[in-house]
Amino acid sequence: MVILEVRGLKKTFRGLIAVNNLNFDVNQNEIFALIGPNGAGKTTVFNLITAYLKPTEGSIKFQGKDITRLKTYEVAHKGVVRTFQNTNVYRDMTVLRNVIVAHHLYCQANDWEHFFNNRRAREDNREIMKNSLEILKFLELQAVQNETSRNLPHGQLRLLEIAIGLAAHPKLLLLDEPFTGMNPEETDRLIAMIRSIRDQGITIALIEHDMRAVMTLSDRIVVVNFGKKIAEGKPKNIQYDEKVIEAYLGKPDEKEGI
Amino acid sequence: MKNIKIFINKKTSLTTTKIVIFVVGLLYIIGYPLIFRHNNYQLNIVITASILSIISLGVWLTFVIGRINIGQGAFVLIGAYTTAILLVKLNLSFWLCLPVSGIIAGLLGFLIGIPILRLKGVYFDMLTLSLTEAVMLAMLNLDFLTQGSRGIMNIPIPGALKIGSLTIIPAFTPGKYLSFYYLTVILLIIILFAIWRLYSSRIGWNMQVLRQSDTLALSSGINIAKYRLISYTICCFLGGIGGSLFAVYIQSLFPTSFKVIDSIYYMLYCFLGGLNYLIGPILGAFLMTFSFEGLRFIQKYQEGIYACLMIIFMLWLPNGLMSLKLKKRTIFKNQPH
Repeated sequence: MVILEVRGLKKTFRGLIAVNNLNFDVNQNEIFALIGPNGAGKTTVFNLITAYLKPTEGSIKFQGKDITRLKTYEVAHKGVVRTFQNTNVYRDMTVLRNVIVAHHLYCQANDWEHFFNNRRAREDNREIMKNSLEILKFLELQAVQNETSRNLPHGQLRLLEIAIGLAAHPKLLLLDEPFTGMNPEETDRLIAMIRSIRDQGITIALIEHDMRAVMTLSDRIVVVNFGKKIAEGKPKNIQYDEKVIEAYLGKPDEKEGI
Repeated sequence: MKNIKIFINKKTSLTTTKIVIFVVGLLYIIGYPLIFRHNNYQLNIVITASILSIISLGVWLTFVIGRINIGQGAFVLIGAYTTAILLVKLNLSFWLCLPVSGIIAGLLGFLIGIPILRLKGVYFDMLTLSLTEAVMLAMLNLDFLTQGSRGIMNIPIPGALKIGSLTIIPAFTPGKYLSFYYLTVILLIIILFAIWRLYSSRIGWNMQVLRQSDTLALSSGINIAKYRLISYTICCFLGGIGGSLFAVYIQSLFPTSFKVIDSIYYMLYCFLGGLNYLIGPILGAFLMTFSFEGLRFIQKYQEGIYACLMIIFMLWLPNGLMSLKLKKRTIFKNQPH
């Protein structure tokens, strides 16, 4: 079943065409990867899906409903949550607090009830605390939960970002280069974690440059170059696709004999 | 074992804070007015500091969302004029004027906030800076309402608050400041309590989040425009309340009663006390008012010394007075058990 449907997506910045007539689907409960050389427009696609940017043309449907014209926070309300390429966490808060505040969509009580701290609000806070600790335990961050997040090493910051994403209880989680700056050991651990997130019923779409991670993790890959889709398929097929090899490595030049 | 020790430490420090709050509160509400009952000068200092605290608590709330607000004077002026006009021209009761002034200032803040809260950083600062001047000029030119540069004189002091034949608050006696003292003290405590509830609830968390990362907050589904507006509207509401109190306290009002420099002071109180603590702006306002009065005996050099003190403070404690407390805590934490 298709959960996200991208049709004819186009985004231009003045004269520059960042995304050009892009079509792809993300299926329910799969791990979907969007890859391509630097500057291919991958992050722009994520920005368009989560409404950080407005598309010039085209439509995005989530669970059959059009989300193209929604506001950014409304897209999150529908269940599409993202992480960022440049690590984006609340740096002056502790790790636990980071995850607690990210539980905004989880609240049952409204603002007034929270202000007067009535029974429903207290229940909310209890539930959120329990759930936050669970998320931290799952991502193996409970040892640093009282640490201010600006003091965390890079690998754990990336995990914290995913924790913040999970706190919003997404149906579709968009991960923008989650493996950057991780050593092979950390990469393997995160691969297992992402699989396990998928097994909890959360669909994953990711942008990644770490080919080992992409090839082992993803069910389906779309390759973009200069904002256009050049290939789509299973990891095995993508690896031997001529166009993909050309995009990454370039064309053999007969004149110079390379 | 280590954990238990930390836990105990935390517990005791919590109770000492409670005791300190209780003692200071008691002194503030009962002790001080009892000692200085007939000393209008001493009462005056605390009344002024309390009203300033109410106003800068609002400014502090905009610091929470990560905006430096140098335009609070505009809303103080609006609140003060609302009260003055309603009292003098329409002969309404002060007890009605007070909330109305707050609401009108809050409403105007809401309307102005919608466009200007989209601005970030220094652009927001500059716009708010010019707001005070703009409102001052508006008051100067709205002659039929505000009597322009002649100002509004003889603003009556608060009368009695009656429901039916039952007198809830007796009329204030002219020349005695004790009733003003209690009015401002009680208002400050109520407002402090309300802001504390706001700050420590989820609404406050959503505001604190805005200071650190707008984009991440959006991704968590937080409607950032809404929480910015809530913060700014409450800020302007408190400005209006403060202005209303000043109007009946000083009893005369001119367009130049609250100038850009006042707006800057309201912001400075927050910096001085510490931006990360609710008590910060109150501490700042009281300290500045008292130290200014304390320097009165060297009248000629008063402002100069005052300025030097400010600079020394900023260099020594860039994160405000409350950071002293934080320093102590971290020292304790690093000690081996």
